[in-house]
Amino acid sequence: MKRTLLLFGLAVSLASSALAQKVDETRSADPRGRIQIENPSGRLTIVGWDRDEIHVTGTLAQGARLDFDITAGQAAIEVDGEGHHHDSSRGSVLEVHVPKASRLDIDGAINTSIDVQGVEGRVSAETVNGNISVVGAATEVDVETVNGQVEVRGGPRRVRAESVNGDVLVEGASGDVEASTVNGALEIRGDSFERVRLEVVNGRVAFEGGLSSSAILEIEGVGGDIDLTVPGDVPADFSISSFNGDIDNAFGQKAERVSRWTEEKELSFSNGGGGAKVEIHTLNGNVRISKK
Amino acid sequence: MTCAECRLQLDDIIDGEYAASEPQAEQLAALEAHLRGCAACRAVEAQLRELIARAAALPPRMSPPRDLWPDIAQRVRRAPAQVQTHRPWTRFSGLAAAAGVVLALSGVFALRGAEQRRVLDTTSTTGISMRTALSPVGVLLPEREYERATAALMEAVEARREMLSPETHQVVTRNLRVIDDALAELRSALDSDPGNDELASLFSSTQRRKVAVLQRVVRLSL
Repeated sequence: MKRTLLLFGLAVSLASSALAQKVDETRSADPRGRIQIENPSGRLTIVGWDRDEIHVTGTLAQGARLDFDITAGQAAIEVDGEGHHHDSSRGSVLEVHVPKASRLDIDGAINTSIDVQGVEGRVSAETVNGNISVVGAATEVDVETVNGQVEVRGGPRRVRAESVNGDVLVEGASGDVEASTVNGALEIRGDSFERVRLEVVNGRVAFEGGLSSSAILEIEGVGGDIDLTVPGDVPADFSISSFNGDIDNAFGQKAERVSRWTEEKELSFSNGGGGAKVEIHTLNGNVRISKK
Repeated sequence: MTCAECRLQLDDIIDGEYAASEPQAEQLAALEAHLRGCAACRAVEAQLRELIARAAALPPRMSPPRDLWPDIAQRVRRAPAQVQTHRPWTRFSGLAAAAGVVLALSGVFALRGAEQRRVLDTTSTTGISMRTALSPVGVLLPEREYERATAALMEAVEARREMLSPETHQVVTRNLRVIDDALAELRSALDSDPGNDELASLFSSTQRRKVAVLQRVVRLSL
């Protein structure tokens, strides 16, 4: 009986692999060209390399086909022809090597996880159900998902990272960062920032980094604590309020309750001669300001 | 005449400011013509008249339940660095009488049907400050525009439901409920502190967050 079952399982496995199509295609490419990639379901891994070539490998889902075209320096890689699999494990799994200075646009993803490594140009990626990870030296990152975690690590100078249900982590960035999630934690850590806007409806926010003297840092939360860690000599004007929470300030100034009829507290102070604008406002959550 | 123009002049109508001079008589005629044809503006006029009548019925002098001056004096004497009166990034004026702030809700979605594509732009400008909008007189208009925009987008999301896995649809529904719960809490907080600019700003940006989430789901599932 066991042998029968084993043979049956093996036969099914072989039949399944026969239905899946292997992909292995290479084209010459513009070292700084634009590459558009679409994979509605499955997994996408994009790796930047030193060759002026695009190399696509992987396995297509049953019934899918790969359209791979390069026109006038722009490449389009599209998985088409399959039904939309709600189960991403039945989708197409592709690994795409691209010239590292390429500009990447990943769209049309519904149930796809996206992983980008070592691409130094602009990276734009969106999916509905799946995690997005961008690691490396991308100069600009614009990523969004509905159900999944977003992770950006490296040194981008401009980041927009959004999720609806999932955590958002941005590490090593500088310059401009815009990040939001409805239900999840936001963690932003970096060097020196010019403009930061963070919004969370239900979740914790943690920001750690420096601010230029003309920077603007805005954090809005409805439910969840907010932790801000900045250098002790940061030149900034702070304006903080929490409607139902405490404000704890390592710089010394104390928050004051502003109304006898509500629990709202406010804190306004300047440090290092002022300059940058730090605005933090939350409905239900504690605010903690720490020094690096 | 638009509804926004009409509502800016309702005070003048109720106060009888329009004299018999020709230019103002024409303005009055235009206002009255608009009111005859617009039930929403007539409702706002009725509420305003009721508010003014109730205010007129109050006694000429009312003493507060306790002496407020010590609290006020203490805040006036506070050092300037400790009191920040100008928050340049706050989207809405702190002055209840200012009617120059615009609340714009914009939702653009597309339904790709078998035979046609319909694009609806639900951009709305009200010309009414958030403070006025949240008062009993002006609460109807922005709230209605927001509800109309979100209802249209919810309809679009449901129309594209087969593109999402049941699990993803549940996640979206659950998170929209998170936003609605947050809005309910914010509304309750604003009821207890209606003059709070930060709360009004949080409320507004949370409303926009819901619209943005719905737009994203529709767009990504096309």
